[in-house]
Amino acid sequence: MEDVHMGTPPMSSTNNLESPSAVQETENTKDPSRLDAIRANLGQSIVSDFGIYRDILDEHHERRERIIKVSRDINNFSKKMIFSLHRAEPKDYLPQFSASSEALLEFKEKHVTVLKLFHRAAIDLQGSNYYRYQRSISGAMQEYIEAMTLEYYLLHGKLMPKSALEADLVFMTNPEQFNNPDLIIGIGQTQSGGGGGGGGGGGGGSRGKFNKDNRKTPYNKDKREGGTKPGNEPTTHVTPVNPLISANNTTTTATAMEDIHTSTATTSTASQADVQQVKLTKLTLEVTDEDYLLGIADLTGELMRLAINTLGQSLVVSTKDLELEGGLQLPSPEERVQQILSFLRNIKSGFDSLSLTKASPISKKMGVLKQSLNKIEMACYNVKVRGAEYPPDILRQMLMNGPDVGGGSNVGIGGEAGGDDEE
Amino acid sequence: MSNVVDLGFFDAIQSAMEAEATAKDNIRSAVRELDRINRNITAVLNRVHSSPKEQVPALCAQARIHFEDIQVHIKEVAKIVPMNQYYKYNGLWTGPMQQACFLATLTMYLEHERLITVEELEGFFAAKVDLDNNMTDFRISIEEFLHGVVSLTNELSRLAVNSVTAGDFARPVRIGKFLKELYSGFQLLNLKNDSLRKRFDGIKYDIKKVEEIIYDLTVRKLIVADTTPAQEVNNVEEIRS
Repeated sequence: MEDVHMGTPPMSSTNNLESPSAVQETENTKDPSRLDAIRANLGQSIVSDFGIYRDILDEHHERRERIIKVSRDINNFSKKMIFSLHRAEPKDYLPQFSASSEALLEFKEKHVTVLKLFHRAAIDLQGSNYYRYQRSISGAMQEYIEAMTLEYYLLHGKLMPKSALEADLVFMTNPEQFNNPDLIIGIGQTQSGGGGGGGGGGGGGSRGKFNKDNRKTPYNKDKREGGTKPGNEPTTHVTPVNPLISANNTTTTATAMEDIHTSTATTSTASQADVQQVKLTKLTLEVTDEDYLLGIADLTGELMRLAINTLGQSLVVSTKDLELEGGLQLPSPEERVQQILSFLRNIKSGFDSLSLTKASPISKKMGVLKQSLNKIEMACYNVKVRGAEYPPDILRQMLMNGPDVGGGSNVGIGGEAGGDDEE
Repeated sequence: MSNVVDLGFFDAIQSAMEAEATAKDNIRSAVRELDRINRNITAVLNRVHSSPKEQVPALCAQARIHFEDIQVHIKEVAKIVPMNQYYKYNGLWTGPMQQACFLATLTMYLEHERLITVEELEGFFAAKVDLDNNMTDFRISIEEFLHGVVSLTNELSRLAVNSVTAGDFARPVRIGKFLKELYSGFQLLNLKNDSLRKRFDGIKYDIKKVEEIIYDLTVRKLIVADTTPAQEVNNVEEIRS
């Protein structure tokens, strides 16, 4: 069943509202033979009909499970993205230094992985299926939005627009990747059976699947490879996976490798005409308004954590530390906290302008937003009032730990922002 | 560096949410009509429990007239729902749609004493059933259809009771055979822990009820133990083997 589905030619459907005509067109030209085959087999007997219904339902459940697995991975990696942002120094976010910041490099690395995971999910989330499985992916989507909007704020001091998020979630997919999503990236501990794993994506892949080779491949590479020739394709994709294949698979892989090499040799002489052969399908993932808003609501929790940490710094950082080589001057921690505060207030007034029903998940998160804002305001107040009464080190300690002074007990890097994460 | 939150964006979201609410309202009112006709058909078909069996074909014909109205309202819903967002709003009509599937299934059973085929169901509603998990136009989901079939088992167990009261002793036997066949069909499904699963678990009580009726009739020698099977049901042996 699965194979049959995977074998259907990809449709370049998109959720973009601007191009509804394109959606119609591609979906109408979709291969109808599978549907015809199902129809032809119906009506023989109750039992055989129910066998067909079972296959239909199984396909649906399997797809949902695949999406849930990818979501879990996206969720984990997005959390790590957020942590690496908190680890970065304020100066790392200046364009001059961002390239050499280890924390930001880690962020980028994870980002590439997450995009690949989204790419994988996008295959299962086309057309009407996006909303069918939306609930399975929306948690991961929110976490990802939280990470991306936090980075965007730190770099640009602005709220990341939804369009910028969606611009990242456009995936060029070649037919090979449709047949075997493992070529994009493997998921989770258990194999979801995406068509046998090609050169060896199958087998007991663990978290270690995201090995360095795989991860560090720049995302763009996928696109370019897809654009070149089919024979070349597996070489680059399969090789990084190879070290992970268990010993008993080695022989098969070796031959697979050979095949690929020979095919590369033959196709290398092939003309440019081949290049045109590979049809790339553009897959897009929509960011729903609700996910975006919920992601921003989560972002406020992270901003709260950031503000409290910055406030703590303000007590121990001298003005000299803010001067960088090249005559650059970082804004003082106090300034940064004020920036975060006014950013949060802006977000809050944005949310306040929405008329929400009580049942809406957004209005539930509004409480978290208010709490975050309140905590920062109280912390600022306390620093002002008690600043002179305590030595800076002790006051800093109180800020980080003492719930009455500000931060609350969950400010530490290990805790969850605002305790509002759903997963 | 100033803090910029594009408030215009929130306005856009607000109007998008309002548009969504309007769409939902429109769907709801179309679905309400669908539901009203469902009730009309239910009222007609309810009379099979109290009517002599000669009148059943007339009742079915009467029900079929209403199904034409259902088609109109399904088309209306289909028109409002943007195709990519079928599942966003699906919850609004899935209940009435299940009921409509049940009514079509019941009508078909009363006419021919067999399970409706997918094609016939599509004929009732002038809408396709989603058979490949790839919805490109408005379709009836396979779950909605199966929910309708589960409802049928419940209704038939009631019909078995009432046909005995009306003096028709052969019918419960035929119903019993049919239900067992349906049950073995349902057993093929790998059901998750969802609503269909819960309702499937109820089928066995319907079967038990019908079996008890057959037992009562047999013990009192009101039927012979070996009643001839209904004409259309000819693959019972296949299932057993």
